[in-house]
Amino acid sequence: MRLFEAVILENTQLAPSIFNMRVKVPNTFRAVPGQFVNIYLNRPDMLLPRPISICGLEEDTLRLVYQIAGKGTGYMAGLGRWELLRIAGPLGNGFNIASSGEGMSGAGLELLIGGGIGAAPLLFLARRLKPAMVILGFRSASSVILAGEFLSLGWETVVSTDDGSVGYHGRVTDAARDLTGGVKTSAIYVCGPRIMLKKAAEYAAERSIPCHVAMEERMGCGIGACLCCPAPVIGNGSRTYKKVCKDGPVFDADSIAWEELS
Amino acid sequence: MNLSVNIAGAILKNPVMPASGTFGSGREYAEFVDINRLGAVVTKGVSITPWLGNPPRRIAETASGVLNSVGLQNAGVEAFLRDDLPFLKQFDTRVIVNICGRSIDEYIAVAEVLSGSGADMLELNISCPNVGEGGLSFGADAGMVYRVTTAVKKRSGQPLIVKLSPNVTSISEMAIAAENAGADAISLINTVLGMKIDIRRRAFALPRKVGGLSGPAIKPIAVRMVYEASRAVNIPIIGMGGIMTGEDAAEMLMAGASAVAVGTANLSKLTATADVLDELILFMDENGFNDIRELTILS
Ligand SMILES: Cc1cc2nc3c(=O)[nH]c(=O)nc-3n(C[C@H](O)[C@H](O)[C@H](O)COP(=O)(O)OP(=O)(O)OC[C@H]3O[C@@H](n4cnc5c(N)ncnc54)[C@H](O)[C@@H]3O)c2cc1C
Ligand SMILES: Cc1cc2nc3c(=O)[nH]c(=O)nc-3n(C[C@H](O)[C@H](O)[C@H](O)COP(=O)(O)O)c2cc1C
Ligand code: FES
Repeated sequence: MRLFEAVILENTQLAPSIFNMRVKVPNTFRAVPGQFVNIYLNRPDMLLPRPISICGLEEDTLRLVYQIAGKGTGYMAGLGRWELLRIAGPLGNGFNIASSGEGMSGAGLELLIGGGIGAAPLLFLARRLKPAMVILGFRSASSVILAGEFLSLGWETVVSTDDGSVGYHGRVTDAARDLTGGVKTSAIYVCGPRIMLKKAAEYAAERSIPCHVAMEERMGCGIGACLCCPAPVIGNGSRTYKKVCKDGPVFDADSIAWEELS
Repeated sequence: MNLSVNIAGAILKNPVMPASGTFGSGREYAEFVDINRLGAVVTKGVSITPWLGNPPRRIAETASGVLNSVGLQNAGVEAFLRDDLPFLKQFDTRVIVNICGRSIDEYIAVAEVLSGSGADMLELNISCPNVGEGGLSFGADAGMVYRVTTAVKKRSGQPLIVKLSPNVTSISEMAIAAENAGADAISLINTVLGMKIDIRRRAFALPRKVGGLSGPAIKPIAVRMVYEASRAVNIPIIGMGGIMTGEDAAEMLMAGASAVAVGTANLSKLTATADVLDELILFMDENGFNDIRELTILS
């Protein structure tokens, strides 16, 4: 049953307004990178679940890294050790690792691109892929998270900041253009703000590189029943809406009708 | 303890069912709830042809409520008959198919296609605030309620439930119009027209600006309207709007409903339908009720 009460083992600050939470999950819990959990806050002013990506899973310890974005995540930040959290998951499809060149020698570089809190699910992905290159974009030096962990997994880790206070000064897609140079890229995995997904999708399309993007949408049920979480897609020549919670959150970038997303 | 109720000739083993649109066709929830335990399953809205639905964002949260603007996205009745109905028929429960249309002809068409199917009842949604034509425009006028209901009733092979909108001045008038037109039961309330503005983004929370408000915030409206409708008509009423617990369900039954539907609660709690049933049984037990119908008779 993908619904349980989890004990909080740790809930500590990682950077300004960013928290690292570890919870104990049933030992039957299995997940793939890109999947998420829904957190139920059980308050009358917060009837909807909060989706948070899986950042790590070691035995029965689930790791979540989240940013205070409003009242729900603010409430989560105030929870302490040993408190209980109602969780549904794992939910969603996860990254399609099999379609990439993983394991095939000479298939090319696998590139991870993350923006801000979007680094969290990529860290889980990085554990399942052969180390290659990750580019992480942040607002400034003080908001850099998880970069050291990618490094210690053996990934070539590039940090870029909007203000240039550390690392590459500029957009992650510009960093990708400058830094991947002549190396052939076999697949790109992206998680971050929508504008970054869009830019990365354009970058990948120009170079005919398969690109997998993790989409976000406000959720109702989280399991594919209520149709509250539409992702505009083009399939078989027609425009439809798929469900971010169940068909996604990861989609092939070239299946998304980007022009509909502001 | 007797929990069974009779809605338009069909016996439901208990009065608890999901509200349309919050439970899909049950498939996703089957992992969390034993569908066999439910009195009925009410499907999401089904139309004659596939409907795209509204662009994102489709849902927003408010104090004790949720605003939605799904716009009745569905794959059409053919896909429903192929993919969803056979799934639901595996369970020992009643299947109520919620139908929607943009015109009277579209309502008739979908009812006709379903008439030979295994659906036990149809629920006519003439009260959705999230679509342009059809939807609410049919449910806000007693003359239209009468016309759509008469037309669909004539062609439908199953008992017909008419789902009423709270966005009207007199719910009794709408209930009477449905009854006079031959409705076998009525259900209420659909969502209450609402709006939310995100003051930091200086934008409407939903791109269509308006949405349908549901959840605990609308329960007092629902209880009042169920009570008024129950005084106005003799056909059974399925009450809904903000039912989160068994006690909420008991309140709705006491207001005059014969059965209850659980909507938004499914989003807050994946086991909500079964939990409401368990809690209702507990309430009856603790308060000396032996028959579910004793609750309804209070009104
Ligand atoms: C599949 C998925 C995975 C996610 N993974 C993470 C993660 O690992 N770490 C993390 O910090 N955040 C993640 N998010 C975003 C997170 O769910 C939202 O920030 C959170 O729900 C906001 O809740 P709140 O109550 O704090 O904010 P609210 O007060 O409800 O809203 C604050 C702002 O956030 C926006 N918002 C609310 N919910 C969402 C949502 N589901 N998606 C996008 N924007 C939203 C609101 O429109 C509003 O502008 C993920 C979202 C999705 C869909
Ligand atoms: C996400 C969502 C989708 C809905 N879709 C439908 C629908 O397809 N047809 C319909 O008749 N009512 C639909 N409704 C209305 C509900 O069935 C119900 O009448 C209303 O939400 C009030 O009940 P509640 O407060 O328990 O949610 C929907 C409600 C929600 C929240
Ligand atoms: S949140 Fe209900 S279908 Fe995705």
